[in-house]
Amino acid sequence: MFDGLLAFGHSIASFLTPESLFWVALSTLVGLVIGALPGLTATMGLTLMTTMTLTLESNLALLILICTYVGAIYGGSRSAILLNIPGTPASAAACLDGHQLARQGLAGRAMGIATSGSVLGTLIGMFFLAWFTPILGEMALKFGAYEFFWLALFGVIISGTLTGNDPLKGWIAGIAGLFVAGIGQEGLFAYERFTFGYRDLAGGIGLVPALVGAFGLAELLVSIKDRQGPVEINPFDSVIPKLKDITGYWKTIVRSGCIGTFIGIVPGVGEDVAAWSSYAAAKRASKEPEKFGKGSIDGLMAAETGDNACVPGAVIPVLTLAIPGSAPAAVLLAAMLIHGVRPGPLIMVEAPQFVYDVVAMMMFATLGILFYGLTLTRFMIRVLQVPQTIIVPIILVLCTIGTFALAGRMFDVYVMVAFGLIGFVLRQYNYPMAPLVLGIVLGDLLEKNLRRGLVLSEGDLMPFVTRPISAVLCATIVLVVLFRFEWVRRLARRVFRRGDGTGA
Amino acid sequence: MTQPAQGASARADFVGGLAWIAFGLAIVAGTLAMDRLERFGATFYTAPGLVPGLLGGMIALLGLVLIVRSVRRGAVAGLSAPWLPDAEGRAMLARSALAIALTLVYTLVLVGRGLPFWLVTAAFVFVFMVLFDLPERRARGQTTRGFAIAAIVAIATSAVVTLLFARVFLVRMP
Repeated sequence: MFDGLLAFGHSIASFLTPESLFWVALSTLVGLVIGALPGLTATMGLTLMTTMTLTLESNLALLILICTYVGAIYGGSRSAILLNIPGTPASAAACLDGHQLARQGLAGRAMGIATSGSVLGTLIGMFFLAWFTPILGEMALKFGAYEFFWLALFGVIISGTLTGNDPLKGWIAGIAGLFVAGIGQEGLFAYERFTFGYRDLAGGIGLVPALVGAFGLAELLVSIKDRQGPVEINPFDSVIPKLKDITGYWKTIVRSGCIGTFIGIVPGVGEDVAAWSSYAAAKRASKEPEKFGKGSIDGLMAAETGDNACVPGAVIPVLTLAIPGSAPAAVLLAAMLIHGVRPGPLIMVEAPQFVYDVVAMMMFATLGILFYGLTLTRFMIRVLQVPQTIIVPIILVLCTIGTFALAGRMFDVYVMVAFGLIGFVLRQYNYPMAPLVLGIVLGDLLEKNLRRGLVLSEGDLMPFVTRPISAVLCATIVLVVLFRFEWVRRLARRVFRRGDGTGA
Repeated sequence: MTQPAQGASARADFVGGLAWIAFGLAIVAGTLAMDRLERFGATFYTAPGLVPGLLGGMIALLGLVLIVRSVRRGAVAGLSAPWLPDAEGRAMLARSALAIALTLVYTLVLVGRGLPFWLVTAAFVFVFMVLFDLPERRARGQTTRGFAIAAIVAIATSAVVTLLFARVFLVRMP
């Protein structure tokens, strides 16, 4: 415990330089603006910032990315409250009560609640990040090839089930992502698969170009398709949070913080699910559930605490298992790999200080959103009023040059464009992007461990289902998939009812 | 499956399912044709085609499930419904097509083909803004203002991005 605090103090001190603080201020602001602008999400912000921080020292680059991530998830609440448009999908739950408060002339109070909820949510998540990462890291040391195979599949299936509104399409997207990850030379024999003789493809599809395409370009095309007109914002009250809005709802804050962090830890399930789950739990626990959706402070506080607590939560499996807890965390994982950090079960053995560095980065990001939350109201309103026709081409240029900057080759730009078009078409038909991204990130892990496991067991499939952790993961996946089918649920209900009947 | 597909019609799911089956089967066919590398000691379990083949099979299977579901939701009856979108849908389609065309011209034709990056970027931003903004500006009698704003934004974007990447990030520009 004391060692941990000491390491945390050391990490904080290492970031207390003018350069680091400058980047904290700038990147949190960039995140805030990206998050607030409808159509631009945290994942997109992170992919863009990854391409722009390649030349920086690794800890500084990751500090910038984490500040962007936290800033973007918080920033989404601004447009949710003021425009009734979620700036990021994570803020959709905040629209319900946030905008209702704004319509009652209480937009300032709503923004204050969002600020306090986001700050406290991140702090709760940060606490769990510092406390739980070493524990999970130790547990992860027991994971072998079989467990990692199931964990990769688990991430894709759970993400497919929960992130969209059509699990079947989520699974298709996830499995397509796993396939994409296998294009190029495979790991055992360097045999080229699906390259069609194209030399650039031998190295595989670059993770970051694919992400910039699927999230950056595809989002831009969607936003220009669903073009929004000029926005009008009504006058509002003070944005300084009221103490009674915090003390009166401390149970909601703690509950939502814990739910958000837990949802973050579950592979592939991100901030939007965290916000909705916290919101639903707050409604169930509330003495005034009828006020939810009509300007409930409880509801807004729950949604905003939950989604921001999810951010540190989603980083926990990134650090300990190299499996992202959400789509933006997938980008963060990719960035860590680019910068030579090797997340995984050995992180607490090889680089324990790095874990506390990440906790410190979260803390600086939290201070950033608190500062901007209290001060930058007029500026953010100006930002929300910038027409899409200006933002879209500028971000498109950044997507292009940012992707090119990765390796100085046009091939990555072509990959970005291809994934942008594929992502755009898939979005039109209700296919979620998060499982696709998870699939691309986890494809290598899945294949490597499936083949390794089969070699170890000499083709015997039993270890995949008989080792305790493997068995639990396998059973969870099977149940999650089967219970999406009505006939399975009907059968289960009948079996349980019969069990009750005979037992009585 | 119990949750309804929101937004996408059953007919689109039917066509999508067919596409996924074709994609999945193409992957399976590709993996079956792959070298098994037995001369290098590869077994059935380490053959390069195993995992992509399994994934291709799963994609085809899920495509089939999608088709079955869409048929249950009236995809076959929907085949005779009009295929063209309404006026709003057509406007959305036109905006998407224009944005995609401009993006393709910028990324595939202009960038990296010897023309200076700053020039093609300024031209792209200018044309993009003018094409998407001008009809509204013209309606409000602000055509000149629209051109001026587009030119300022285009020059500023090109200058800032070029300087940032070339001088600060030290990237060799395309």
